[in-house]
Amino acid sequence: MKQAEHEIRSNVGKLLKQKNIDVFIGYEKGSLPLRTSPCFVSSEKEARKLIWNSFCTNNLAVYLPRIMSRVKNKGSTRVGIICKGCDSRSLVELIKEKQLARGQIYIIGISCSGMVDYKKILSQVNSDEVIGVDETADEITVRSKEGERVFSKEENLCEPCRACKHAVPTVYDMLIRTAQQPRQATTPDPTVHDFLMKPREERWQILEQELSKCIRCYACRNACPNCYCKECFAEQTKPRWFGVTTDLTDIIFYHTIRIFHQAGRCVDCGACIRACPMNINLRLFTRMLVDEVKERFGYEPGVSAKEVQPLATFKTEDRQDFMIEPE
Amino acid sequence: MSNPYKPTPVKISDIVVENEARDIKTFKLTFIDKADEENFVFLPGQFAELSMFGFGECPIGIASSPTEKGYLLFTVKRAGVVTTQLHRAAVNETIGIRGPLGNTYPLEKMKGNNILIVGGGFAFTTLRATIKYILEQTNRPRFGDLMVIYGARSPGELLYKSELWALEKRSDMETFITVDKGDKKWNRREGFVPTVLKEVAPSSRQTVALVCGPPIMIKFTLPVLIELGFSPESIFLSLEMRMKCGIGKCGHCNIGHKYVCKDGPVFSFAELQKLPQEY
Amino acid sequence: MVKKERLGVILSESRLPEFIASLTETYRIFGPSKKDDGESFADIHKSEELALDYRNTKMSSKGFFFPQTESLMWYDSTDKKAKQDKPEVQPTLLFGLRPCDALAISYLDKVFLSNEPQDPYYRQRREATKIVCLACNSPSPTCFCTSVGCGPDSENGADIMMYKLNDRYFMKALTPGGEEILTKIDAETEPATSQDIVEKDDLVNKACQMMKRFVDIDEFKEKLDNFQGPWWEKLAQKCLGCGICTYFCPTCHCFDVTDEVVRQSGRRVRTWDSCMYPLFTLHASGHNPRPTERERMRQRIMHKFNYADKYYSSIFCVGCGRCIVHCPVNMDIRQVITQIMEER
Repeated sequence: MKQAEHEIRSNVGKLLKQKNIDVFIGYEKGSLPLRTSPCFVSSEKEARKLIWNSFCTNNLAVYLPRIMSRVKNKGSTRVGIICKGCDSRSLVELIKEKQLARGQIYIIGISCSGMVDYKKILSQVNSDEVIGVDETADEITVRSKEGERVFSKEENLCEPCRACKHAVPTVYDMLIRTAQQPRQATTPDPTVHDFLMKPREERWQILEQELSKCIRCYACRNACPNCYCKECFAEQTKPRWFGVTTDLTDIIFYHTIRIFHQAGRCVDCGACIRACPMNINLRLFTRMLVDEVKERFGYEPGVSAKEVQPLATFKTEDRQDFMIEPE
Repeated sequence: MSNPYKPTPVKISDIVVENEARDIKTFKLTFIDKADEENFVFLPGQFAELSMFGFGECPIGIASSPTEKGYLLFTVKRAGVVTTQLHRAAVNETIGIRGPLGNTYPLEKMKGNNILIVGGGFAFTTLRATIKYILEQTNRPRFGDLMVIYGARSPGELLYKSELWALEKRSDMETFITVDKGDKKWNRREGFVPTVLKEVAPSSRQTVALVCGPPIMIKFTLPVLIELGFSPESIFLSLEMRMKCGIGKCGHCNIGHKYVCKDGPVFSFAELQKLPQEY
Repeated sequence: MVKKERLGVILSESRLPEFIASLTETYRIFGPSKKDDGESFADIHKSEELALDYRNTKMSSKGFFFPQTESLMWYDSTDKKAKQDKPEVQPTLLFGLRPCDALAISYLDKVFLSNEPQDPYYRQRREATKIVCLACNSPSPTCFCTSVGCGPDSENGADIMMYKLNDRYFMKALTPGGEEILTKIDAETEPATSQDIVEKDDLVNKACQMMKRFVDIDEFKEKLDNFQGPWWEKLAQKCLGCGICTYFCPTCHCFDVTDEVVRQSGRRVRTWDSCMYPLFTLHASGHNPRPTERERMRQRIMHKFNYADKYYSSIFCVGCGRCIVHCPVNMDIRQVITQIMEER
């Protein structure tokens, strides 16, 4: 970790000094133990506050569409960014959707062995007593007023990390390899399968239970790099598609439509799940869509820059039997 | 306890299309319940929320003066969801009204002084209310000279055309009507409102100025007024903001620590200079 | 009897069940629920259901008076009249509310009640509710109430102030409503002694020590008079504009009013809204005075610490720290304030 951190700082410092980039988006120490925070550095001096650890969870690609849409001289602006595997896959899709040009970004890719979910750790300690955190290759040590507790990283991973097959970024300008082996899931993610095995009534009950927690704060949408629409369908008034309340019907509408807008685009980075303050298991939705798209179209978002998005592209050989009446 | 969110039913008794583009209409509203009419006590400058159930509400300045009895006039431009629906309404339909809301033009300060009214485009609505109020027989002697400068983009966009020409003929006021660009039939003055204001150069002595118009007009009118010697305390503007509750609770319409729906919509230029320039 | 009223009363922990039982005869009690370790306030029928050793709830208590979703009125196009929705209220007790949340409710009272015209929906719920406030013995690392004019034993908004001493609770009535309650449960309590006061004061001091005051809030208020300060752009860079801070904040009161309709009838409903959303100030013409995160972040901070003070004579922050805990990008309002103070 420390070595990677050092490499990040020196490389970013160099890039900024040589004016190869105007600003770099990375992570800095959070104001609380177990947290990190996105930060924007624009000088060699500022680059020294960049860090790297197992809590660098935020998908920083979320900032790019809005930076790129507002920048005045598009041709000459260059933004640097640090990307884990999932973040880089978001970037690949954003480039396909023309939200940014490859030449506008300088990507420092970093191989990842899985991020730790700070909420999981906090739920096992008295969160108000935590003073500090240390980590080794496999463990997290939480220091509190009452002493030290050690947690296994593996047991407290962010759920999407468990199923990750792309721990090495799929696109980068330079790659930093951490000391740990990049994660490689060998078994398929069981989330959707386990859920579908349940009887129908139970599945509905689970969905109802999860979704009734929703307070319509839209954090899931705002944390998602793919949700960059200037006017979201949820807030449109002409026409108003559905209500803005926390009635279950409105909540179901919001989440199902938002996730359908992600079909073929969602990379299962987990940003929405981590952002949700009510801890709704949004993975039931996101993973469902990822699996469906893989099964029906053989497509995995963010892996290849050349592969076209199946739901945004029309080929003449596409099946049309669902539209055309048989003779 | 009365519910300030509940609209009062009113009937649309007349609709007049004001402009060539046909996207500005004046609605004449009458209260269904006489008691409601008696309770609706207002002064020029105030606004009301017009309510269309199923669509929402829109805040519109009251275009008629309290001296015009038996009805209220609202001039509405078709812009969003509610105004579009209102434009689809027909005579005799019932809609809702909540009000009067907001503050008024500073009538007490205006009394005993000369009045300069500068209006542009379809923002002229509450200024019409003010003019009508001042011209009312018993009110007129309370005010000094009255000058009105009103302009629109083109002749077709002028509001209250039938009344404007009558104003020009009056001897108890001076009226200057202008358009940015005339058409073949237009044989009157052409020129932007700020330019006409500069040409006419009304005296600022003991004069209160009321200004209402699109942001661009205001931007160029204010320096002219200052140049003519008007103090920021004697210039008054009426602002617009996105509103919801209209009673200073929902937080949408604030400019700094003032709510446009409660502490406004009328503000003096002096007041605005002290507030954040965020509108 | 007179002495009791002067110093306060003591309720031994062992008598808490009877205390609660007798209160349930008159009030519907909401308190920190043991079921989720005090993360939320639930209906309390027995004292065993209470988790009074909780830090603070996840969501603030503003939802009791100002719910996330509230039907304002129902209408029917056949008769065109609006029927006001009347919230069902019964005498309610918020038991064990933290002082920061109670202070926040007194701020919301300013918005919905003292600021004419009164909001009838808020008023009905508020008038039916009494608040028994529980002082804090061990604040969280994210608590900063002492920096914003509140404290672990702030009394504003409370009908009764309660302190947890070793094996007993010290209580004192602050309003006639509070007196009424204490009189009703007179049988369960004993008069407090000066020793109890000493112990209570000691605990409060210890709690204050745990929270270092990090800013002179009056200085900060004044600094914000500079609306055009250059610090906003950089501060707002990482903000996602998600609105979590405003939803969890106990004093944020912005709301949206929308009409819902199914065929011929429908309702006008109010829901929480956030100044952090781009459409919050969007005019029908398309003009938006706050087009980016920079303007919206500035609005949020200015409203909380400068505008509210000018309008309501209180800053609208009670230092509960919820915005810090839940922000997905760890935007820490204490750091924001410190950074602004450091800028010239």
